[in-house]
Amino acid sequence: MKCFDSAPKRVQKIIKKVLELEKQKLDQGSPRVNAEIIDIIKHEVQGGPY
Amino acid sequence: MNIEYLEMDNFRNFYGAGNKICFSSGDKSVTVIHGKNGSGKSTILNAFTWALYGALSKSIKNKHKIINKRSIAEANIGEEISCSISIKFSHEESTYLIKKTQLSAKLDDKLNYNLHAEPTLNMRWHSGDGDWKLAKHPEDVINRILPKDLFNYFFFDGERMTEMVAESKKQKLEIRNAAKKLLGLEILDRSIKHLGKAAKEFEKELGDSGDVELTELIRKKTDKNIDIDTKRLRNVEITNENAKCSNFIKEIDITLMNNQKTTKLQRQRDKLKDDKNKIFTPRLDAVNKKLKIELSHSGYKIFSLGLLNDCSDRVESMREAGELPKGIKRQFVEDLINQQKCICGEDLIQGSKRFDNVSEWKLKAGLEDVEERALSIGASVKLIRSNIEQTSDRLRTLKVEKTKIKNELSIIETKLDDISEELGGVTDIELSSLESRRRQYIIDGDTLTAEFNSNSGVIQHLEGEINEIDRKIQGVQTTQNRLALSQDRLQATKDSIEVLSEMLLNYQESFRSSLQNTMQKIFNDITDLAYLPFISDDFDIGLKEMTTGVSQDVGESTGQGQVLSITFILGIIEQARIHVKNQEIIAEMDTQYPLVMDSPFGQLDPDNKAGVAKYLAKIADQTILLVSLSQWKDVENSIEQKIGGHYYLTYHNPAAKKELIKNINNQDVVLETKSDKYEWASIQEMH
Repeated sequence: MKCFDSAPKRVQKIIKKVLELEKQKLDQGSPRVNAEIIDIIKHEVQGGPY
Repeated sequence: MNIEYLEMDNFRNFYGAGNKICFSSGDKSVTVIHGKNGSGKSTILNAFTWALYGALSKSIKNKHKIINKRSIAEANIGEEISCSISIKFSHEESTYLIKKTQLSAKLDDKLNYNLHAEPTLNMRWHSGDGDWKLAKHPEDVINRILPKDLFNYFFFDGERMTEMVAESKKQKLEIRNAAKKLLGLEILDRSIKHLGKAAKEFEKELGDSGDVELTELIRKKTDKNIDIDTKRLRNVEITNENAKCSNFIKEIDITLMNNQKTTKLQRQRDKLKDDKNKIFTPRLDAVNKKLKIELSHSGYKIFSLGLLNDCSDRVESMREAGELPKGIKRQFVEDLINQQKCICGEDLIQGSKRFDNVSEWKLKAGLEDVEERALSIGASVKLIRSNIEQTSDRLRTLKVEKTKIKNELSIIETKLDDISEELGGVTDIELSSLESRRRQYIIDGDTLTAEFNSNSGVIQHLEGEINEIDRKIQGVQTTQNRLALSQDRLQATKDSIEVLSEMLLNYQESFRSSLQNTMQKIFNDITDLAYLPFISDDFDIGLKEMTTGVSQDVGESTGQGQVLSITFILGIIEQARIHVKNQEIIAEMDTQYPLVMDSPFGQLDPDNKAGVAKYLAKIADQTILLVSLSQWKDVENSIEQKIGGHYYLTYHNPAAKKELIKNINNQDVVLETKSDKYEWASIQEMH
């Protein structure tokens, strides 16, 4: 799996949300994003079928 | 970004305040600053990079030794001396004014000074309305306008030119960083890094795997189930053997009953057995059951007797110590006062001595709640004591009855033993042996029953243990479900990192390819050399022969190398335009850039210098050229139409033998003059 378009939906969603978060944080000049990234992954992967 | 002016105050070569240069923009976007070697051209480049990024040329070893020597010499020892750079620039709709200042104090007569504090950067800005505001984080603002990672390309030091094509890790890293900045790939980088940290968190959760624990629990449960099965099987065998024993005993009993010699004794035995099994044993069971119920329901009361006595003693001792009220009740005294009648029948008139006396009784009387509670405790203790006595009586009665029944059973057992002994002693050997076998069957049966009961106890215990194991297995399975979820999340995180890494590589490759094409186009425009620049997959920069495609070694200091370097710089700047305009991920940068170049023409031959100058005028929105007179001579015709202003630096040189003055466009320009002890520079604008 190398291409964004062929990645599973959940991976695409994670990437989009993480990029959006990093963009916001870059604007704010704040690097503290770890907890928010973990929350994004937990939200997108909740154990159900995908 | 468009730079309006630069002002230097005591910064390195530039003595005193007011060393100001205003820069052209628009159609005539090139400003040329001319100066002899040592007059301060590189200082102007350093003024930009120090003020904006805190960076100075490599040749400046001590980053705090930037204050003009003459100004230090003129200061008194201990006096504060400062140097500063002010830059006014516009970006998009806003105007910015920054001032970087270093404050120091002179220490001695040898031009030594110390640093009061790290240099400070102040920024004021307004968004077109003239309402100046102070920026809280000026470095962040500058970094967003023109990223620090790219400043080397836009504030270009000619001495670095040869480094650009040097095959070094640093150079490759610089190109990659430029690609990341220009394409906004820093966000991808940071995402990969932070997702990596998230992956580690999920890995940590997985570290405590429940597999081993679950296997061990299942093994224990299996072992215990096998033990239970073994015991149950044995109990089935025991039941069968016991039944056989009972049958044998029954058969013997029938034989003994049918034999004339033993029939009487056998009948007595049957009668006793009936009494035992049908009357006394059920009665004993019934009494045991009652005892069990009584003990489980009320037995605890007997054990609380000590506590009750203790409680009772404490209440009594408190009462004796006057801690609990006794005698007159508070309510009674209050009633007397309300009725205005004493118990002796006299009137209680407020203010009279009698009234006061009775009122004092109220104080002596205890608190009603406490009194009630004390009384309640007393009543409760009495009630519980009474219950204990009743329970004790019932238990005593049942125990007496049990003893009585057991005595009866004991008598029956004795009689049965006597009968058995008598039957064993009959002269008929066969009958005697039957009785002896019967005794053995009874012993065997009792042994089997004991084993059966023991096995049943063990089975019950094992079942309890299995229940406990099941509970633990359920807990571990919950953990395992959680671990499975963590595993799934870890996989999704790793997949995301893989995709982002691939995206990063693709973007970098796209940048490499695009930069290579741009460089080839620029190279063709500025030179007639029969080579084409290339950038390898590994970000090595080189030249290839146009016809053969064979790569050519490019010496760092050769003309070819310098053309290649300047091509690379121009290529990066061109890429910045292309990619910022086509930006998909992040659009932070303006499409307008200044280009400040110190001695950009190096050792280029005259033709190539002209080609580069022409291209510079075309590519940059604002160009500031710092050049020597000899360099300028070869390029001025190529760029003349774009020039908006000329400045000349006057070199005040203590070693100058004579003044160097040139008449340029009917204006005398002092290029070098003799100074006192210290060398310094001043700026002259050409009109």
